[in-house]
Amino acid sequence: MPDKTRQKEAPLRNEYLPDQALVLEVRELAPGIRHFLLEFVDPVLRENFSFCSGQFLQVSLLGIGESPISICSPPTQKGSLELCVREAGNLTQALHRLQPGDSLWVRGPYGQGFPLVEMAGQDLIFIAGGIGLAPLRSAIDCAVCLNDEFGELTVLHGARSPDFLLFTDEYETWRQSGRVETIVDEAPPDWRGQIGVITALLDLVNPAPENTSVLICGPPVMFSFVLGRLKELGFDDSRIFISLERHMRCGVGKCEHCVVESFYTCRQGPVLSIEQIRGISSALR
Amino acid sequence: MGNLSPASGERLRIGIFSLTSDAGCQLEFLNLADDLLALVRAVDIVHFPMARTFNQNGPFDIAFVDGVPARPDELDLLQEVRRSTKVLAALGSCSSFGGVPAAQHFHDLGDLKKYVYRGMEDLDTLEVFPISRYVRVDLQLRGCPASKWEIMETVTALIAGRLPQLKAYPQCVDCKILENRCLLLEGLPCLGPITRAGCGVVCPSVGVPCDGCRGPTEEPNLTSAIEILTRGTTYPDLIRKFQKFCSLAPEYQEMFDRWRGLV
Amino acid sequence: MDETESGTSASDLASGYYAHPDLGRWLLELAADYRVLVPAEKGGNRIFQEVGTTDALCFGLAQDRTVLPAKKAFLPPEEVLFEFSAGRILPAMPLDDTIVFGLHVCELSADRLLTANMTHDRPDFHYLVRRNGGIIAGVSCRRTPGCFCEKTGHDQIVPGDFDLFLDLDGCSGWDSAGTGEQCGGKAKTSVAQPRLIAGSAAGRNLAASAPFPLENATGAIRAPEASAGSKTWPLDELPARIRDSFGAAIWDDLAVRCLGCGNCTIVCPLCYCFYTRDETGLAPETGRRLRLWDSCQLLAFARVAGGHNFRESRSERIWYRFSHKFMRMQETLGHAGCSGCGACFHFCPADIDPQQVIADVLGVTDGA
Ligand SMILES: Cc1cc2nc3c(=O)[nH]c(=O)nc-3n(C[C@H](O)[C@H](O)[C@H](O)COP(=O)(O)OP(=O)(O)OC[C@H]3O[C@@H](n4cnc5c(N)ncnc54)[C@H](O)[C@@H]3O)c2cc1C
Ligand code: SF4
Ligand code: SF4
Ligand code: SF4
Ligand code: SF4
Ligand code: FES
Repeated sequence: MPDKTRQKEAPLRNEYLPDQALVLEVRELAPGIRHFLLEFVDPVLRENFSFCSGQFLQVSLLGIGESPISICSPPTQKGSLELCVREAGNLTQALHRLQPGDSLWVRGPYGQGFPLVEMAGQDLIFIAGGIGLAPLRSAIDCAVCLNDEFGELTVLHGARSPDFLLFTDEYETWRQSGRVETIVDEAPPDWRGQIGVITALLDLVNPAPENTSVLICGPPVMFSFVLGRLKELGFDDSRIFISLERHMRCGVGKCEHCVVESFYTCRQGPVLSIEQIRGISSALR
Repeated sequence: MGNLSPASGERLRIGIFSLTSDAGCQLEFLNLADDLLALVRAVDIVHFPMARTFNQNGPFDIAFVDGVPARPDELDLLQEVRRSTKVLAALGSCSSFGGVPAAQHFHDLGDLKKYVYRGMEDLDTLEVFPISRYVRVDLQLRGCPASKWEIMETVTALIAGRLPQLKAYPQCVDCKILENRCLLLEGLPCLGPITRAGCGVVCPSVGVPCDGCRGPTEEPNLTSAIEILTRGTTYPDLIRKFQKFCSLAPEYQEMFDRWRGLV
Repeated sequence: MDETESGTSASDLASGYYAHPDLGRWLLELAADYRVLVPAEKGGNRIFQEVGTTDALCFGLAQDRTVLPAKKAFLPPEEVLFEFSAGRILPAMPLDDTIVFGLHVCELSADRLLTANMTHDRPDFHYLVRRNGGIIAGVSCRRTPGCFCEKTGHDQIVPGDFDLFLDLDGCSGWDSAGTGEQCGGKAKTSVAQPRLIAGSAAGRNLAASAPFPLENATGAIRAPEASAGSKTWPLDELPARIRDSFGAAIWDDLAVRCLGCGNCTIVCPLCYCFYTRDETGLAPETGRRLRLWDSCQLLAFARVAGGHNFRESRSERIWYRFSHKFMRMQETLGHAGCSGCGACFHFCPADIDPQQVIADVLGVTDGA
């Protein structure tokens, strides 16, 4: 009779099992974009869950599928989490059908967020295109909450049209810690705001690079223009942080979908400094 | 595809329609066997002329349409179905790509009427096109016949509120996972590398090369595939293979044009 | 020992198998307690199959390659991550009682690297439960046509990389039909009988019931020597070379031939990437989340909702395959993610050979 005893290893964590959360509130922020307030069902997790701005969750519905979604509430907010979801495909469409009281499932947090701790004492510029404001809003709210720790905040937000500007009801609060400027690609005649590309906002605020960090999230088309302009303004690559989007399945460096050259967007990213990705031509596509 | 959201507890209303075809795809529903019994318990198949005496009209949650519109009244039916359903699924390669009937594009229509429909030369037939030429199609369940797996995935996904997860990758992936003998490596004309998976690689699994009845993968490398395939098959035979089931697939047209230039 | 005594029949030899009746009986005995996989014939292919599901004495140990590598025992092509029912999650518990018998040196080496990969950073629960509970046993190989383990540094294993190793060197009916002198990387002494080498305590325990002499491993076991002149690639240099080759014409040339069919990665012992999919029955409250093998050679691998594809061209996708193996795995784990088994080349309809690809990357022709 063969011996089946093997020395047992330390208990392994099963990364693929999600935790249940309840939807407390749903708001439509823009056409096809909804904002969810959640809380974990498990009281211990609800109490102890911690993360950094810019980190994401693997969000799923049982029988539908799973996708990476950034946490858009600040780490300073305890007991609940917020997500902002654009309807794009299988899971995100199903998420849009959720009502208060419904369940969803999450695992994480995953990836590296914005290094806000290292930015203490600095001015912060947030540059967000479209739904890219979601992860940045976590960082903005965090910086607003810890107002004394940071210098001036500048939020630059571009969207397709005025309807698609996100979190508009929070700009007043943000303005108490700095400046908020928006711009849209196109607008109806009664629109009083700016029309054009987001670099126009950089020209408008004309930021000085000294003691300033820049946090960027948006569609890839935005990157080259914004980065080009920041370079002209004299910003150092090590002070510019960008959140990258890639196809993701596992969130833990095992499925290979998110790889850009030699880094895993889900592990070393999604937030990376421009210095970290220098020379990788495919990173900013 | 539209955002289908079945109100919870409500049963899906399904219609199964047949235009001109050999009805083999409809038969696949009956071939679901045990699954079919479970299916009729879970959803309402309210229109299915092959299996029901009394058939209801829309609205439908899902309409499966097989065949191609070959007569004006079939075109009317197709448009009526589109109006009355949330999700319209082309069932099989005829409705997806014109199927076998679309071979008419490679022959003279007058000749066809003379030889195939002898004595019915004044038949009022439409040229064969996939149904997507006439109406918006949400899903293509390709294959000749359509695959049972895809039918079940479509129904169970839509019940659950998921977009059906149909495979878009080549047959070879599933064929290798089954550890079949590779027929292409043995010199047989297997279209697996450029044909969509989803049927369970039924042909190569029994030693028969894939005939491409499920149509091309996305961005197939046809130039290289032809070079490899013609090592064991003549070019004309190969072209005939491509023309058999999915001759109207957009991905094939450049290859056919080049062929027409040759003959 | 002659052929009659060793029990190897003529037909076994003709098909390149080594079958020993005592081995068969022993594995069948083990199959009462374990899931035992051995290479056996099915439909003209060699496949790792479960002992007991095939005719017991019909299996043998193939000298040739199997279609899927032994990794399928620990990372199945499709597996359930968890089931769910009425809003509750029921975790799937992977089985931890597998013995895989008959891995060549390159595959044992690949297994070690794959396990290191699955352990590193965030460990992969499902793989590791199966692998840590499993037992692997190697077998002597006679270089398989198209293999090149000496080039990738996967041509030797040390105790710990394997639990058991069935040394067939010198067995009649084994090397006599093959490239005799090359076996074991040294001239043949005649080992009249198979012998088992234990590489771990678990292997030693298991072999207590084996019908062969058992020895403890004393050092490395090497693959038979390659043809003269074939030497290890400059593996430490490859990451930089591969990185620099991004966008180079060699990848475009490969893209002209490559069908993007995925055969090469499905058969690779060091490919492991996956996607996930939820499946439900007709009652949508019940279902399961599956993970399935994927391949970076497939068009949709890096495509996101809305249609943007981060790896748009086939040349780029091919570069990603080779960069995973010779750049990323080399840099993070210190070994090339290619064992040199040659399976990808063997099963590729377009005859794309990693030996040629790396030779091109190095800018030199092979052996020059
Ligand atoms: C780090 C990160 C943070 C994100 N944060 C947000 C956010 O806060 N709000 C938001 O609305 N969207 C966010 N996205 C994009 C979001 O993940 C996709 O829109 C979503 O995956 C689409 O999934 P689906 O099932 O609806 O679409 P389908 O097209 O059906 O996708 C199928 C699967 O492909 C993968 N996939 C498809 N698109 C993407 C994508 N864009 N990124 C990653 N994986 C993808 C996922 O695994 C998904 O389950 C983020 C993406 C990343 C990488
Ligand atoms: S038999 Fe056909 S489908 Fe199967 S692997 Fe070979 S080419 Fe692909
Ligand atoms: S098996 Fe060959 S043709 Fe197919 S994807 Fe791999 S390299 Fe390309
Ligand atoms: S080489 Fe490609 S197919 Fe293989 S594991 Fe890496 S990403 Fe996956
Ligand atoms: S890349 Fe090819 S030769 Fe290398 S381990 Fe994988 S299948 Fe074997
Ligand atoms: S998401 Fe799977 S490796 Fe990054």
